[in-house]
Amino acid sequence: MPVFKGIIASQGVSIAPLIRYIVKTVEDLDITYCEFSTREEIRLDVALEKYIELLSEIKKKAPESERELLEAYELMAQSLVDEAKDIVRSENICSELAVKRVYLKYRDSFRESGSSLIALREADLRSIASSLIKYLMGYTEGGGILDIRDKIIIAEDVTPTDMIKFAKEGVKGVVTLKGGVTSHAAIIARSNDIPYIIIPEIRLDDIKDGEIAVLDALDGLLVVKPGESELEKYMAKLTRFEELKSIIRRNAFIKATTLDNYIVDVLCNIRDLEEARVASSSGCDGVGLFRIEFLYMMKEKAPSEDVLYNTFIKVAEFFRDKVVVIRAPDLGADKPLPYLILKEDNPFLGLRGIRLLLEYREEIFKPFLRAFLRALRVYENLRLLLPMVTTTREVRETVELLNTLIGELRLDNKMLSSIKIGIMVETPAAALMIDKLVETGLIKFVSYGTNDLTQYTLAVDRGNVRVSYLYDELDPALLRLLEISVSKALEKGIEVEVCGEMASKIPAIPVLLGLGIRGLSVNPTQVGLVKYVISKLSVNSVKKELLSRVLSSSNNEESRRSIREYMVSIGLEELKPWL
Amino acid sequence: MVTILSIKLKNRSGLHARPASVFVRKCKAFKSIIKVQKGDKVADAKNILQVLSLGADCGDEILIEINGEDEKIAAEEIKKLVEEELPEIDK
Repeated sequence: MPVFKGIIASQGVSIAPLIRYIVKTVEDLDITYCEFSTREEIRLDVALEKYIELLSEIKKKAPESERELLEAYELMAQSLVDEAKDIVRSENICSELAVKRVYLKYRDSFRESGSSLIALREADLRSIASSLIKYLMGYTEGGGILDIRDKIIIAEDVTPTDMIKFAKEGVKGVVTLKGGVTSHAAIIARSNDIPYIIIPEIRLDDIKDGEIAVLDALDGLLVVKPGESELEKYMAKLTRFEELKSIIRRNAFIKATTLDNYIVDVLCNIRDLEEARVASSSGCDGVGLFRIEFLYMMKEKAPSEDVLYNTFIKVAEFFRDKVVVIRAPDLGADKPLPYLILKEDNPFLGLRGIRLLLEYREEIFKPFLRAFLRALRVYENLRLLLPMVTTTREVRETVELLNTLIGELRLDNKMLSSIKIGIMVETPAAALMIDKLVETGLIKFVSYGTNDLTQYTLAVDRGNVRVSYLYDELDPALLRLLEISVSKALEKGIEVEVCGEMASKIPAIPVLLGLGIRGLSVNPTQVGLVKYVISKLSVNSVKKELLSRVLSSSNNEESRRSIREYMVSIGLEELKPWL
Repeated sequence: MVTILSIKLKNRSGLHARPASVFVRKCKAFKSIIKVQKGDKVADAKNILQVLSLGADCGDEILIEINGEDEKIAAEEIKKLVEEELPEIDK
């Protein structure tokens, strides 16, 4: 029963057979020579006309919000054909090759433009050029040989036109290797209620057509060939989701308040600009964790101060008056960099997080902090989070460094005390020493990174299938540690948040609220569900009836059972599939 | 005469597909030759592929050069479009 984890592009649950969807694109056109005729310009006009006809067909079925995009497609196709005509005229080559050449030219210049959103347009351009070539070669759109009704499609990538076709033909779900959550295919999937997740790690060769799978686009999972009990569990989840869907949507834009009137901030975790853009309209109260590692990985060198600065102000601008927590890059461990080779026997206990930043301060930490300070001068909603802190020395050195940089940048030296610096608690050491870490001064908030904290507390690598069964954020060991740590942090009067995956897990929410957490940073797609759950809970009731039971459980099964029983006892049976 | 506008993009998604399409359509309505520049890259404002290639994003400065008989009115309308109407699309 292979399970793949992916990024949610459109929420939902479905259970259906898988089918691979393989399409030829302009990139697969491998002719290098073809016969030129005097009719090339007319052929191009005819292909364009057919394509525009297809667009107007789609426009009739597309949601209102997509119409302008389809108009953009029309303009792109026109420009593409105009340039192809120039090439045909000047070089006497056939239309197919000319279209491909124009496509390649703009594909490369889109890539160079460096904007994550423009890069998505590369896929749009590919889809337009591919359609034009199909018309030039006399094929009709789609082909229609595959029976895709009631199936879960798995494809390298899909175009918006594919997605509209899927919606029309009753596809149950979509999985792609490439794509993004703001792609137009994703928007169409959302407006047509087609569950859709993006899984970069999956290989089409590993999938057999017809295999039953569960597409859980609520937790971002694809379960291939589920066992009987899994199947039953997901059937129930599917039914519940259908019932709760509209309530969850409404809740996304309401401030989360418990039954006993505690206000909880529901923030978003984001990992690039594209997600930031989506998150800014998802109803969340700000960004609790902006992971910026994407700027450092798969690159030849670390990003410059200006690249970082531009990224920070963009995200700050998306959220304007809402908080944006930028985490200093957590490099090392499982995030290898081509320009920084660390040979370590045990990288998870090695040079990573703040340790690495302080070691490579000239190359990595200083440009980051300078960019942050410059952006903070423009946008006061920015906050700074330090990863993998274990000692007070690390906090002091960072503060000293900030002070030096404020001088170098000739900023007001009162600025230091106004910076909202937070510590990410990912190690038992930081959890237990939190009061002393806060006493170093200038620490304004704490964010529990529960993924690493669970791994380090339970000594379990969750990526290791032989021991991953031991990984559970609801293990009483972790909950006890959190209880000690959170109460120490609250005594110091600072804000306390949770930004790991635990924050989006339904059974964890009552426990976290009971411990005193008032900020949960979750995936953008989970905002509505998390807010809904919060609105059904009472902090005082959790403290009285659940907390001590959970903390005195002997193992994770027992703590989970207590939570389940509690949730049912307060009338939340409807959430059972998540418990 | 040539009219030159220097504008900072305020709308959230910069000049990507949707706003770029609105922008290009507006420019096509004028007879003037219109060029957009971001950094050292220049695009024909009536060709959407070239405009997209600029990668002009939120917060970027762009220069618009308008040359032709209707450049005054074009400058006025394009300025209004980029500074007021495109940020409206965000909402």
